[in-house]
Amino acid sequence: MLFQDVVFWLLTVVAVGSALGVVLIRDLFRAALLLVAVFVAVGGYFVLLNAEFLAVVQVLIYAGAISVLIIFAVMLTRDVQQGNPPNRLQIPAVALAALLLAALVTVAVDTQWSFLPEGERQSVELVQTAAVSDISPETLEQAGAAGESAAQGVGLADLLIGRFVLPFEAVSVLLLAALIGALALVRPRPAPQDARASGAESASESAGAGAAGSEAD
Amino acid sequence: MFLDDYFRQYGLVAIFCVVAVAVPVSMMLMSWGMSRVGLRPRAPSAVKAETYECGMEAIGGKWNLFNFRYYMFAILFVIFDVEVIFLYPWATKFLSLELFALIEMAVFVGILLIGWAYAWRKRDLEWG
Amino acid sequence: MPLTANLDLLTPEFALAGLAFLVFAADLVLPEGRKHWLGWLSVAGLLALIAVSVIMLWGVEETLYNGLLAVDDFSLWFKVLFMVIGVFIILSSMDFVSERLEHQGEFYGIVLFSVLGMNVMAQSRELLTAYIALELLSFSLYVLAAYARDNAKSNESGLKYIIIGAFSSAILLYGVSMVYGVLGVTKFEAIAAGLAAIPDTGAVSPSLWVGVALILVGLGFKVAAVPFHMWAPDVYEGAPYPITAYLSIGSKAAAFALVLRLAAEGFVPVGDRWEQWQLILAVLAAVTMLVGNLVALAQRNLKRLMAYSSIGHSGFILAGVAALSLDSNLPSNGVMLYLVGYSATNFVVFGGLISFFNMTGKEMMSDLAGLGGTQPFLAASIAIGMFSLAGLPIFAGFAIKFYLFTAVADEGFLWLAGLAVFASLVSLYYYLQVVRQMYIEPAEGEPAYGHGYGYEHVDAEHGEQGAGHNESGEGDEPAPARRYGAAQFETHPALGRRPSVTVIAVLGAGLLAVFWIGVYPSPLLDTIEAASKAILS
Repeated sequence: MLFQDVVFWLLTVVAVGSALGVVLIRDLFRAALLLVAVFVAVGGYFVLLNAEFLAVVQVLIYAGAISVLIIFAVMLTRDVQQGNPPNRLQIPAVALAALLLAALVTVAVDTQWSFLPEGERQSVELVQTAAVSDISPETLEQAGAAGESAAQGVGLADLLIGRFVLPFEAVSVLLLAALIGALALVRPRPAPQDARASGAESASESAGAGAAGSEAD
Repeated sequence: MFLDDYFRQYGLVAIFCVVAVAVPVSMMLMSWGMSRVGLRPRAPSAVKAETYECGMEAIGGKWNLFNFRYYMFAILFVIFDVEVIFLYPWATKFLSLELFALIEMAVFVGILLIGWAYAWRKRDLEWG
Repeated sequence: MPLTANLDLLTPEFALAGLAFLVFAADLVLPEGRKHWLGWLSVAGLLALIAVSVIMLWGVEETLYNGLLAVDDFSLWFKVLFMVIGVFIILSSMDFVSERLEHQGEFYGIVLFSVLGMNVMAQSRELLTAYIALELLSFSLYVLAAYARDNAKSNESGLKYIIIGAFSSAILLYGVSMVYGVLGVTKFEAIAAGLAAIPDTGAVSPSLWVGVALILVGLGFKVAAVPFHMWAPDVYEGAPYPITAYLSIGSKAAAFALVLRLAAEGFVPVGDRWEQWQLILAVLAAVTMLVGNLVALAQRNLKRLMAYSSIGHSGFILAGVAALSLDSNLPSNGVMLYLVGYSATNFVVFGGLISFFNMTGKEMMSDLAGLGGTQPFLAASIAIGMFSLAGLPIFAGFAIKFYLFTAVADEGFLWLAGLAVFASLVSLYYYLQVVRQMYIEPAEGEPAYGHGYGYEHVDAEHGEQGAGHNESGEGDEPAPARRYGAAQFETHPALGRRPSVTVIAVLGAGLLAVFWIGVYPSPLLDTIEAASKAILS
């Protein structure tokens, strides 16, 4: 247990420290890099919690892809060097966030997480999400679902391709919609030989024109 | 038992992380320590302070605006990264899942292939 | 194999996804000038799918995937509603899209995706399935709201929408995870069983209540209920006009379809605790209808006016949700009737306004001055729509409000019904303001809010840059380079021409629906009754 405690506190120092850095540092690029540190630390939490799949997701998607997107967005933005100027809502925002944190921590600590009578509880479903392919008997025992032989040999994969197959397919449609929509929104204007584009201005110029237009009213 | 099997595997990851941090830090420390005892010569010059010590001279400041097109690739990357995540649990149980799962995954990947074909045909994968 | 059983019941969904793929594929090969064919293709496909759904699924009552999805009268009813909405939105946006937007093929395809999301939403009986469907709808709407790329307002709208949308989705998911953490289930009926099984004595799990509250907040954002409505006016104002209509009709109906099923299957059967939540919902509804309608009084921009009006109507519908009970189908009937009447009315209003915008590129209330003379049919449609929104008799608005408010009062929320009537009276004022602009204000008069025109002009020009553009988009206007000068105050030549056949057909169908629901809603109510039975039993 000692080892896990040490790791937990190490991760906590990294996660909280970097998260504070993300909010407090004015250089957006460094803030973005610190965000990656937060993502990795959270991945570490998932490992501690026995949720390896989530840890992989966290590292691949968040630390890998999302942070690339964020860093690109920072690098693409003009005037980003001004950083993150303070505004007058900062103090209320801090107070609100602290209040929310306090409330959520209280709730999580106060909750008796499994108070339903044994028959009503469906801990097998909870356990299934812990392991990707097969659930070990220890995991079952930890989750208080010992003896539920139905859960043996069933894991996230079986849920995903089994009962939840329709949401699973819907996810691919969702990704497709996101892909097509995003590309349609950011695609640079076609070259001048195309009939539509009478002025082949770059996107940044036209955005500037739009901003000027909105200032004019 | 001090560590169960699960965490022992991740102990390797922890050791790896420690080594990965320790090596560069110890190099910097050694360099610093040697300069303290006088083993490391110290002769700063303007050329040494440049960003790239050899080859091109750096032009402009540290900040320059990226080409807008990088963003489209970033978007494509994110989308297909998410797709890969869904392949992972399927792959771990591939042998015990039935034909149905294979078909489902084919549909899943097929739908995203439409997106890829779309991006290709619309020349979003080309530069310029 | 149980997973493939009954898969044919999902034919309409698969076909709809296929239709969207087809549109994208056709977009790749169609030349630039023929992109409006994609609109017609989408419309034809949707109409065919409506027919297929009704023929295939009428009276079917099945669940798929272990209760994840329900194919019943309720889903069928909403599916048909959503596809009709899709048809109307595509029809009324075709002129707008071909004149003012780039990437037309994607526009129609994404609209189809959003309809697919709504359809799945209406039939999901499980929180995660519902969430994925909701995200499919929301993603499509984020893209559509920002679709006028060169218009700063549209960009702002898309940005605000995606940030608030992601925020509310996160809240919703957090709530789902808490409920799941305590009960270990996400299916609606299992949630009801779990809630009912909680022992009355002893420790009550705060996480469960916080989870339910967070789900309520997340959905509150989606329907723009009042403490969570701030995004609506800005997003509605900036979005391309047909998308504003879509937001106020489609996304609202879809969100309420989900709320209705979640409440009816997950919370209403719990009994005592539902009564406590009813009160919370009722207060939410009261605040929403009051704030929406009162703030609407101050609006001068038509899109913002419609945004606040739709917030107000959300309040009325929420009142119906608050009144849900196992004893009576009336509140749920009322909600569904309200949704269909509200949608039909908004078709008419937005159909007229979009057509007006296509002719002039203007969206302030004062710009409507004199429309009664220049475009009698458009003006009459808008006026009828406004009367109906305000709830005047013989129009749909009266019938739906009467039915819903009676149902609410019957369930013991007399005060809420009274408040709703009061809010409707308030709304009469600003709806009639619009009518007054069209019929009483002089056409050639001084525009009262001329200073606000700068961005609208940009609005009119987005999508096509350069001097050769003309505002009406019709080819024969002598195309002066109308930049921010005085020329925009002159009457618009395009106002002299008759609206296109499509516009007349859409408006005619909408008007017919408005009168039909207002005068003889009972056939519609029979179908609604069947749908209510499917979720409340």
